[in-house]
Formats: sequence, structure tokens, C-alpha cells
Amino acid sequence: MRQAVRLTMKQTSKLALFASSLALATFAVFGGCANNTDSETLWVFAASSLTDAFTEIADAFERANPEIEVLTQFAGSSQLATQIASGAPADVFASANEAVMATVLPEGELTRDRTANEEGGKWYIQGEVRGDRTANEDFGLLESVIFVRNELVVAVPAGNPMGISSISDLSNSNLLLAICDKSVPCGALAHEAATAAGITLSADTEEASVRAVLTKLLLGEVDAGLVYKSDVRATPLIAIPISPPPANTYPISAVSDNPDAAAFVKFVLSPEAQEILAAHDFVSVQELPAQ
Amino acid sequence: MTLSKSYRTLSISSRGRQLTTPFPLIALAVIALAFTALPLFSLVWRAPWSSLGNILGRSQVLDALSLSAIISFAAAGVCLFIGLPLAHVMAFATTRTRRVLRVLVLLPMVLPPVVGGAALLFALGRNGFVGQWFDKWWGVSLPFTTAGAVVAATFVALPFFVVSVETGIRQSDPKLAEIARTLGASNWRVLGSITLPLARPAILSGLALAWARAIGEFGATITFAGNLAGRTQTLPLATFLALESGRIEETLALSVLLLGTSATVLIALRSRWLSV
Repeated sequence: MRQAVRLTMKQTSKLALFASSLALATFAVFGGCANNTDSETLWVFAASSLTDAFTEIADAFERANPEIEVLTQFAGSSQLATQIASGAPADVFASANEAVMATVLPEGELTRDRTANEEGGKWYIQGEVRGDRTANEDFGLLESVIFVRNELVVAVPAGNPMGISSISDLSNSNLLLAICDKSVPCGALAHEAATAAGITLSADTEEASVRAVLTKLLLGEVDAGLVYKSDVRATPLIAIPISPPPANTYPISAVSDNPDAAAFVKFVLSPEAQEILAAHDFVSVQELPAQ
Repeated sequence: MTLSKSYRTLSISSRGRQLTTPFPLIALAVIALAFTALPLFSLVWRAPWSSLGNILGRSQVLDALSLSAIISFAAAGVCLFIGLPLAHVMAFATTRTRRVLRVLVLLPMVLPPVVGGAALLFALGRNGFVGQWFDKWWGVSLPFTTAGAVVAATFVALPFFVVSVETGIRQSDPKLAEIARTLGASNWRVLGSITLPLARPAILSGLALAWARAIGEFGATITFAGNLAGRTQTLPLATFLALESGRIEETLALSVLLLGTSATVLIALRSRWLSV
């Protein structure tokens, strides 16, 4: 019944040529991807709340070190941590809280003091040696370092149509409320803040990153959201402070033995980068009480 | 008899048939097979079998499982309800109209689901193109509701159903419908007695495909319907969140659950509905 489609010799060889060039192109692309771990490219994985600030900081770092190309990746901290644990080529990791950082660097205590954890000289990620911890040593750090603090606020659309005045209003189930999923730092902080205020959040969606909450707010799809103060800055949203302000301290660490990684961490702690962070409504590390 | 006999000899000579595939192609075929099977096998291999029952018995997982079931079947139902008429219109449209309609209908199939979710948000969201009127007139807002998750799943599943049914209707003999009409049958009668019975296999396989696409839906759902346990968090969303928060055991357990469900459906429906 069905008519056979016969290919001539010429057509067959054409087809073969096409298929093999397609395969070659695929391998070329994969090969290209595998080359990303060049010493002169630096992969910075940062919490999504750092998107704007770290894009600027990366630019400033590149200006100061023209030979280094900084590649950034922004997502929910825990998502990045999982990626790093499964072998993503990160050189620097900046997390939105210390608990997530601890999952990436499970071997060491989180400390700002080099004397606290002297034994061992390697980074371990999920039990696997990843690099030398000496990468951070030249500025006196063995483990991750706190570089900034970020406060959680109640964000509402311009004009505050629902008349929200404090976090206590967020237990109202008639309100459409977006928060972060509890697995990401801003979600964990949201629940802490609610507990402190003695309420239960009546959330309608638990988003995978703080930027996803922000998007839902900017689209006007929700009446309120719990996001960081730094997220609200460049938007028409209104930030309603919570008192006392719930806040996360952000740790940063080199997570590979790329020497540029330590240089980047150092740069983030420098006055220049701290100013950029402060301009984005983060609380600079200089203003933090000594731990 | 003779026909089936000669058919049989043809299939018995399958050894000869295999030999007709040139050797380098067989090697490539093996690579393709391994490419598909190895990742799935690795899931099964790494799965925490001893604690599987424990993990899958958690209330959040059970919520996700029942939500996935409800949403995927509801989406398949909606596909049947609105997709069947569309497939019928397309099957009997002029070639030109059908080409235009096909491009439109097929777009969500090619589009990344996240883009679909964003599109739904701009269409049906509270401030969306149409959604703002839903909100104003009836106080109905679809995002962040189970109905919204059904909408997202339907959006991505509909093309599979429509294309399957449209092809099915067009492959059946159009003369039968014409003859019925000359004998005085109404359009409804032709539809009920000729077109639908003939398209039955296509409708069933379309339903199976749409259901399969709906149960795996992720991108459009998380974008449009959000993520809330018990309301919009389906199995794929629960799997994603488990993976991204480093709960590896839970990720594997959920993945194996989804893999098992899909395999069961495929095997149960093979030959009868899917011709596999």
C-alpha cells in the first residue's frame, strides 16, 4: 500500500553529511561548555536578591582586573547550593543566609575567625575534596565570611490599595500573599518574622526565589509579599518596615581553588563594593556589630 | 488466510531486516537507546528504596500526588470538552484555514512552558488582558488557585489532543459522512454516528497524550499558578523544590513515583491507544 520512498545514493550521502555535521556541531557546543572552567573566567553564584548589586560589583571587579571575566548566575540560594553540590563550576558562592552556606561547606564551622577552625586544609563539598581552603587565607579567613545584611519588609503595590499597615495584616486570608518557599532563605526568614509577630502567614504562593515574589508583586497579581528591602529599592512598590527588622546575614566564600575566587571575595569586602551594596539598600558589613 | 500467512513470513524474516541496517547506524542506535535509558535507570538505581514508603507517605507528598491526579485528569477533560470541537472544525476547514489554525494550535507545543505561563499571567492574571474583567465582574482570579493550575496544564496539553483528533477525523473516509448526509442525517447525527465513532481511537490516544503532558507540566504551572502545597503544588513542582533545597532522597522518591506512573500508563495504553 504505502509507497516506498527511495533515496538515491546522492541523497543518502547528503543526509549522512547533514546528520554528521549536526552531530559535530553538538559536540562543538558541548566542548565549548566544558571549557568554562578556564582560570581567567570566574563563576560567581549569588542569591537572587543580589542580582542587581552583584551585577554592578562584577562589572567593577572586571574593570579593576581586566584579565578576569566574571560570569554570574543568580537563583534561589538553596538551588545554587544544590547545583554546586552536584558539580556546577562555581568559584564563588554568595548565599542569602548562613544555613544554606553550611550545606555547601558542611565540614567547617561558619566563622569570621581563622583561629576557630585550623585543622584540615581542604574544601569539602558533600564529602568530596574540591580545593584548597588556603584560597581564602590571604585575608585571614578559613571559611565563609559575612559581607552584608539584608532586612525583610512587607512590600505592597504603589498606593497600598489594601491598606496594609504591618506584618500582622498578613494573616488575613482574603489577601493574596506571596512569600518565598521555606527552602530558600527569604522564606525561612518570613516564617521567623511571622512567629516573632505572633501570626501565621496566609500565603497563596510560595515562590522559588525572592525575585519571583517580586515579579508577582510588580504584575499586581498579589496584594502583598515578603521580600528584602534591597529588592523594593528600584521598583514602584512600597516597603513597610517590620519591627524589630528581621534580617539575614549573607555569607560569601570561595568554593574552588581558583585564585581569582579569593580576590573576588576580598573585593566584595572592599569599601568600593560595600558602597555599591549600601546603595542597593543592603546594610553594609562595616555597620554590623562585631561578632 | 493466504494474506495473513504471507504477512507472517515477512515478519519472520525480521533477522534479514535487522541486517539491512548498516552497522555504523546500529552503533548510533545503541547510543540513542542508552541516551534515553541510562538517565532513567540511574534514577531507579539511586532511589532510596528502603525509605521510599516512608517518604511517599508524607502528607505533603500525598497532597501533591492527589493534586497531580486531579489537575491532570481535569486538564484532559477540558481538552476533550473544548478541543474536540476545535479538532472537528479544523478537520473540515479549507486547507488554508486549517494551516493557519494549525500554527496557532501548535504554538504552545513548541513554546517553552514558562513563556506559556507568563502569557497566561498577562492574559488571565488579575491585571491581565482578559483577567481584569473576570476580577471586576465576578471577583474571580485564576492565578494561585487549583483551577489556575488546570488552566496551565490545559494550555500545554491541548495541542497534543487537537492534533491527534484532527488527524484521526481526517484519516477516516469523508465519503461516509457525505453519504449519511445525502440520506438525510443531520450534522449532529453524522457527528454522533459516523465521525466520532470512527475517530474514537484518535480521541482516546489524544486524551492519553494530553493527560501525559498535563501530569508532567511544570513551567507554566509555577509561573501562572504559583506554588502552594495542597493547592497548586503538583508532583513536578514538589520534585523541583525538593531538588533545589537539597532534599535528594525526596527528589529521587518523587521522581521514581512519576516515572512509575508514566510507565504504568504507557504500558497499560500501549497498542490499544498509543500504537506503541
